[in-house]
Amino acid sequence: MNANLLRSLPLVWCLCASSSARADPAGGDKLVIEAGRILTQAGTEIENGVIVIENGRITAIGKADEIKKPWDAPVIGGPDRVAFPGFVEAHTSQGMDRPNENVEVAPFLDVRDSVDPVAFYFEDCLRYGITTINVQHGNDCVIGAQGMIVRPVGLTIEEMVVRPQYGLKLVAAARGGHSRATQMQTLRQTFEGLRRYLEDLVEKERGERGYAEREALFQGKELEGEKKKGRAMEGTAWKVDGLELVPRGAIDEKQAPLLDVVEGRRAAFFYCANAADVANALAIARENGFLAKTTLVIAPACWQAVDIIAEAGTPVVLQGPLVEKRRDPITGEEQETFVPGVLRDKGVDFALSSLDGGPRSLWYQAALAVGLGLEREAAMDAVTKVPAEILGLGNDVGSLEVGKLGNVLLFSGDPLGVTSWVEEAVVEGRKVYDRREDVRNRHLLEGIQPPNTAAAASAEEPKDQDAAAQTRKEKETEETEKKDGDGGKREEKP
Amino acid sequence: MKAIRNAIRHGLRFGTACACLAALANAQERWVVRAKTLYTAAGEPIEDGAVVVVNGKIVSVGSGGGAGETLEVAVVTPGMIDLSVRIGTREYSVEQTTESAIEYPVEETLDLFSQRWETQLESGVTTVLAAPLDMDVFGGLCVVLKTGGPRTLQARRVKGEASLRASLGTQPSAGNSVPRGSPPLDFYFRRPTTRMGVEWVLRNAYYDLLNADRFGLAVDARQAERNSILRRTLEDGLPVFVQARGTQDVHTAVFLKEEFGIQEMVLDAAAEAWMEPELVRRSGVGVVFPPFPPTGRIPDGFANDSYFMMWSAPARFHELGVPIALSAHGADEIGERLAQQAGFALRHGLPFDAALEAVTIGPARMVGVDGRVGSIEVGKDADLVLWNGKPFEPTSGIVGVMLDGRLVVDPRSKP
Amino acid sequence: MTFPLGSSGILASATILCAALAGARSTALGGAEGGDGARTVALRAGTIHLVEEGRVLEGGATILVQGGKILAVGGDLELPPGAELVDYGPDAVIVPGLVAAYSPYATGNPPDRTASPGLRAVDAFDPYEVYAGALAGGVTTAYVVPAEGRLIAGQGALVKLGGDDPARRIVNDRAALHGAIDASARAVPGYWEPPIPATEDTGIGYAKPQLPGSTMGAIVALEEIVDGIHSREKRAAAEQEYGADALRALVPLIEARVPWRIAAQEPAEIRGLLEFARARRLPVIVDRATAAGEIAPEIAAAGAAVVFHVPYPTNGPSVDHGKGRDDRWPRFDVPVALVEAGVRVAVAGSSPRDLLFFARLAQRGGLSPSAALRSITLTPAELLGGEGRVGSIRPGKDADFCVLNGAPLAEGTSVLATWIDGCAVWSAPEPATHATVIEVEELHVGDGRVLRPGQILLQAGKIVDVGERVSHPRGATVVRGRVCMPGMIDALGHLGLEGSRKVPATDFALQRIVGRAGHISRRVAREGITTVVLSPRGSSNSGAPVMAYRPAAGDFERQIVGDPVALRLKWTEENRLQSGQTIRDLLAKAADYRAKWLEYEKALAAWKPAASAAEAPAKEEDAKKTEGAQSAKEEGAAGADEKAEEKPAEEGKKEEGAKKGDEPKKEDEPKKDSKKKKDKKEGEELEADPITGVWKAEIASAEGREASELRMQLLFATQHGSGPVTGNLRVSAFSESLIEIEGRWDREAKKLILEGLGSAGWVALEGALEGDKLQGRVACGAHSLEFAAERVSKKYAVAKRTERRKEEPQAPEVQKGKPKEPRLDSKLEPVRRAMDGKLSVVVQVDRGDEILACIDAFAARGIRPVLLGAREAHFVASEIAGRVAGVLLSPAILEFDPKRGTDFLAPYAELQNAGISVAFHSEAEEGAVDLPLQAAFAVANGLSPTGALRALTSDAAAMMSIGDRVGRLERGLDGDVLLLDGPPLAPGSSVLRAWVAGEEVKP
Repeated sequence: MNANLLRSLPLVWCLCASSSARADPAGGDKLVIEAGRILTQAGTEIENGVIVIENGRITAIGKADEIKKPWDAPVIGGPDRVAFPGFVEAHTSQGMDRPNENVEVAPFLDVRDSVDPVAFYFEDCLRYGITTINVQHGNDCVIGAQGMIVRPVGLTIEEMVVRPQYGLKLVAAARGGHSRATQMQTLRQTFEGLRRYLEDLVEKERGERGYAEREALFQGKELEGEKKKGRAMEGTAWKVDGLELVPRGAIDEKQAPLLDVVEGRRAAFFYCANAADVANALAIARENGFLAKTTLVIAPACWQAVDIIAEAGTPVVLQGPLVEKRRDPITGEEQETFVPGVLRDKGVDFALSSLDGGPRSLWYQAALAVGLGLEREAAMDAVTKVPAEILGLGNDVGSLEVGKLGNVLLFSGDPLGVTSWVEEAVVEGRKVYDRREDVRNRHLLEGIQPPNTAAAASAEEPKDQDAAAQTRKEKETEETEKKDGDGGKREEKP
Repeated sequence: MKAIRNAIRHGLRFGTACACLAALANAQERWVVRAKTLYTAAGEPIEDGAVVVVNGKIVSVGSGGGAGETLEVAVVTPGMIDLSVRIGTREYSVEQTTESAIEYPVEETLDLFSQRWETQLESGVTTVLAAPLDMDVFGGLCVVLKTGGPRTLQARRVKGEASLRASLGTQPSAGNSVPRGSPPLDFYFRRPTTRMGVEWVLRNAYYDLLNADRFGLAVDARQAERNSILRRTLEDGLPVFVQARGTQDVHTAVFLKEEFGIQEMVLDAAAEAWMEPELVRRSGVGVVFPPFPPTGRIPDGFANDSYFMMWSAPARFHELGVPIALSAHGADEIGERLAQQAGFALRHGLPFDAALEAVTIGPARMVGVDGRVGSIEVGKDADLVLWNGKPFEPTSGIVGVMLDGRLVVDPRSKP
Repeated sequence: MTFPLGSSGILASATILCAALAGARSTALGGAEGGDGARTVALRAGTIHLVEEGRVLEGGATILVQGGKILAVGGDLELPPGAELVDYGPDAVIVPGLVAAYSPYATGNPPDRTASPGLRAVDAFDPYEVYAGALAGGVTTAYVVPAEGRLIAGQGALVKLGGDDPARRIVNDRAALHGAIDASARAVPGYWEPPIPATEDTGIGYAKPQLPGSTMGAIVALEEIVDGIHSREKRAAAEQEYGADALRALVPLIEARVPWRIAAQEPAEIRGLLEFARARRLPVIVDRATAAGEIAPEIAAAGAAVVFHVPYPTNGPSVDHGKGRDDRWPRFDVPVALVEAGVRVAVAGSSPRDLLFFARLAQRGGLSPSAALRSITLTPAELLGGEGRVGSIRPGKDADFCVLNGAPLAEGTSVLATWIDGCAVWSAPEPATHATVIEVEELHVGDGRVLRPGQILLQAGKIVDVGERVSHPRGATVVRGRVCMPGMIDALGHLGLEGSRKVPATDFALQRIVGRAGHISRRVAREGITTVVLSPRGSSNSGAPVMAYRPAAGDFERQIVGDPVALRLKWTEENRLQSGQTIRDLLAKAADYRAKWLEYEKALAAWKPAASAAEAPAKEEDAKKTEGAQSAKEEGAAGADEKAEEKPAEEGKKEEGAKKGDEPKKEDEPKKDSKKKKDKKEGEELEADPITGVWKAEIASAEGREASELRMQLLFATQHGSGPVTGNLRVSAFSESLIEIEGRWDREAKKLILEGLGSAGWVALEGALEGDKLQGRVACGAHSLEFAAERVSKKYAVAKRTERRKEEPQAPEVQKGKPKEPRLDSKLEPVRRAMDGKLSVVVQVDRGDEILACIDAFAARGIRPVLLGAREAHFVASEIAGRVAGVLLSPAILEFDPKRGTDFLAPYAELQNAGISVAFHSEAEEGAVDLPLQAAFAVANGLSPTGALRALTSDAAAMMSIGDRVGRLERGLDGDVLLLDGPPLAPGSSVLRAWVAGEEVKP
């Protein structure tokens, strides 16, 4: 009966999880997960194994008979479960109220102010097993806001945050109404501007001591601690001498994140819509010395530039469909290219990303990739290890190993199987999702309108519009002539 | 060779082009297709089965093979059938002069050169029902055709006048407007602008028929032709495909069926039919489901309304014994094609055999072409889909497609 | 090895070619890499324009290409080992890849500021895109414009429009500073920068007006900017006005002396621009330069260059140029004026793909061809800093070429292929409708007419046009030579029999022995004999078939000219008494066989499908009833229905009632007259159509199957006699679905045989009619069931439309009362067709008297035979003139004259002079190549050369009734053409090249 008592604990856990914010995100708690199979993504596969999680991290993993379970830990899972590390979303602009700010260069913004903890997207993430998400500004800008890495858990941004102020979005693809050239011009001028800004900060500082402090004061900041110190510039491409004279805190909000990027302290996510953009993006990254910290977010059409991507050695996140269709301009034939295949052949590290919040989530993209000819391991890695590495979380997520965070999914079967569901999801040692209690899933699956989800229907619409605005736009154009021709009729009749 | 050049000129996809080469080469040959598992859609799956194909027909099904060019794959299923591909018809295929274009055969407007047939073929869909767009109450007569082969109707048609297309709900009336102040000069003023209007047009057509018969009224040739077609829906079991997306439309359709004694009726794009399981079962209509909506909701193009499709609707109807078919509405996107729709159906509770039927023999029966296609049986067309794994799993791909004994996608060319 | 040029179709042969050479993957996969260094290609063509100081290599020259660069070029280069040769033939012309001084490929929206030199076209250019349009126009390099309509719009770049290596495609990333001071620049809006953040103290800002608003304004602005860079005190103001970025971006450009390419049109504008440039020592290119002609000397003096835009929008509507006194209308003499003044001019136009055409327009002003060619190749390359790599053919430069089918700027010249970096990136489409134009000094039509000069256009295997000048479609292969004539015809040969001595029956289709063209056939064709009238060796009593075919044609359907074209008979027998007996009998038999047909055709002409109209109302009233498969063209019947419709309904009803009663009688009625005879013959009383209708039968349970019902609907197509039966069958035992069945009703045997495909496999039904019951068995696979069905209805109930749109071959003949065809007699059929003049008759006959008898016999049947052998024909020439289709004398050209000892006669000459057409024949296989020699010999002995030519071509064709396909060079005939180096049959002249069915015969 003691055991029964313990069995009932998880419910309590997820209650408190979903309710109040807790002081210690990791929690001082223990959890034991049993599974008929554990796919560790660390090269090993364990038959009926056990995972022990303490204080949010995995302390032991192995065969049931070899591992000593702490007596006081609640146990979940069972022999019919398959354990798998939580999926990692390497780049998305979902979960925000609107992904794009209408300012070309906006590094002074921060997506944390836009991420909506109760957005359906995060709920879907748990439903489909995504436990780590890199939220970045949308693709319709030149330089976007500072992004952040979150976990789809909690009712406040504080609970969700994994890495605040992480990464910066840059875009080489032409924005609506602009040409690729203007895009590049703005990018160049922005970094050029940064350099000038720093130079005359230094110049002025040299001229009259304490100029920077006063400037900062005027901007309404007081400088102490880290911010008070100046530091020599670390940029690999270009440097501004004497920057150590300037307190870092005095550098204003627009320039500071850019300086971080140039100094290689901040990851850059560079969006490219086609091969030509890739060349430009790499050029900018080289000129300003942050190639090493650059991840290319590519649309399928970019595969043509795979050679220079491989040469530059940057990892990529593939956004959108896995297969690119293009018509040969000379023969007029349509050719289909399986992009992950090309990337694999050229030895480029790539992560896949969800097509939308719904069923076409990471697991589905990975599964499709396998169906289209990618090796199973490669596909699995593309949604776990690789993105983890891209996000610099290689030691925390992406696989089930001792010392890593306890982000574990319990599937009813093969993670990539069409009939298997995420039954339970554990994030940092806390069970945060249980399919049996997933009201909305039941609503979708069995049509039962749950009492307290009246909002669901209405919340649906705005989410639809915002999520992946771009892809939708492109879709619609062909849809009018493709799908059942709805649009047509309207035009036909006055 | 010239044939191929032309084919190319008409923008065949490269893969298909190569396949064509193969096809021409082996059109008359004898094929032996071996599979670890052979799903015939006509009985139990056969382990280590073999299908022998001669001159485009299946001559034997079983484990025996024999001479002939041999293909070895993991799984073979019949060519898939989509009863709601919305390909090859455009706005101009909609008869604008009348709302009940009963006697208009859609096949005469089909665009057989559309790239998207190839997409269908390569994604394993070998037979489709081509219907007019749902802009008239009666859209006209649909045709069942193969998605491949020579680009002529004779070559591709499996069955002309396979069904009569009707549509309910907002679509037929959308865009029609009521005269305000101005006299109703404009043509669209005269068309139905409400659901009831739409339904009335439907009813009216049948009343005309019945009256003509009862009182032996003189009808002009055109009317007679319409009547003859409507009569076939009452007597010869010509199926009526009704687009009925919302619950309300489902009601209407079923009641019409019972009112006039329409023999065969199929509800197309029936997203919300599941809300009336009993009614549907009782009325003995078939149901063609739209593609699974990611968020469960299918927006209505016109009324700012949306239809809610329960994910397990196919499973539910299967349990009730309602004949069902799945459809991808001719989606091009990898991941939204018919095979994947069947996958979603599996995920949401439909047993495998049922899912297989729902994309092969099931739809074939609905339009009465099960004598030729839809399953792997002796004497039927050699339309086969060759898989490298369990069908409908996203992780397994279609490595080969055979249409009428011609290898359109060659499994040997795939790595 | 040589490459199959333009063997396109499945892939751009071009890219393939390259891939094939590089031995790498198809370039469709993109990726970076040019042709690999090792590979050497040699391009050969008749003429090569180097453009470097106007040099032209003629009479065949070669370019060696290695690793995408030109290795060497010259008239006589020997190929290094392992070099692949690409030979475009002696008529092709190679010029450097054209350089378009203007293209829109990277043009974006105009920037916000009036001066934004930081905007770089090379950023917007997509080096992975293949600009097929321009490549098809021979343009390999183009200047891309950053933006239009600004004082300083940005930096233009010089790029390549094709090629694999994106890096290599950038020729010059800052070819010029692109701008304008003409009207276009004045449309600049005010500049507004959104303040971030917009607080009440900064405010939302306002749009600052920008220069220029006029020409002066433009010049002022330019000066302020440049001075702002040079002088410190002016800088602040300039940065304030035009933005610091603008000035900063300009500095390196000015240092690098990048030319300022500024659009200026009016003389005033140009002067202002030149003055500005002179004062500040800036290199300047006057863009557009509409009115540059008037001030050419000044421009020359200022040392400026010009990019002239030809004022004609190809593929566009014409533009009005204004009706005012000093409105400027388009002038094409600007380039020549400038060139004469010593100004470097590049010619450009609205669309790059038409660059060649723009150059031609530039000639209208009087520009010399060489200057015009330079203005679209080397000059633009020089102006835009690309002369190091492109613009001319010189060792060390990139291997970019444009291969033409004629003089570069001649009308009708078009591009055959375009090369970039040693790879053919585009080739003119082949071959289904590929066109060949043959231009010669004299063209022998074949029937005696001669055109001087003459041209032929061959397309899709046919002669599309013949005349002094014909159209030259894009990408057409143009061949020039001295003389051409139709392909020669062996009027009776055996090529293809391969020694066989068999004499097949007349109904044997000889085409069955035709094989693919081997090297023998091709050699024969290259000797000039393109068509062989094939007959077996000798002929049997009943005669032998004769067909005409082209042994060397590419594929079967083009090989066959006609089969059969003639019937070969033998008049002369060993026993002279029996000579011609068999033929007489044959003709007699054929005559009354033909009579039967004539009668039938008359009846058919007389007969009208009145039957359907009579009972139209009945059919219309219940639309389910139709008369069987109605061919689409018999819509007339439907029309009749409409008319019948006008009767008041009740009456219609009554009639119907009446009809329903005695259907069968009514159906018989109309056809009584037409086939009374027949009915009498068969005597017995069987209903005309005992089949059509619905049959039902109960099937007793058999071999473990439960009792089931059999229901079939049958339609007996020809509603009398025997004929095809279609319909559908429902037999629950064998198929859960309706089975479409077809088969045949045999009236004599009273047997009905049907089969169709059911869901369980093929179902075969066999039945015999006893009384009105149908006894028989239906079988499926191993199982079969007995049944006895009776006809419950005589209607075949289907809706009209299905029937009408059924495309069964046997659809047409189904009208009741329609006269019936006589039986086909395959043996007599050829003779009948000969009598109708559709077929020739070749009859073997020797002696004069026999010839006369023979001709009489045929004349009686209206046949003009072709005499074969006919040693003594010339004796009776006057008698037979006009009564024979022609004479094929024995290959002996000379006849020994028995009367006058030594002398020889020349029968060919004599016959032809008597107005009897003759032809040459070989009675051999490849021996056919002697025909021209025979002809020459005949000419040497009195036959007129023209006559000999006719005998070899048109006359031979006419007498073998293939004159509508071959034998002359006429519009619509097949493209069998010979190219000679001298007049036909002249001793010195020989066949150089031969085309069969539009395709050249290759060794």
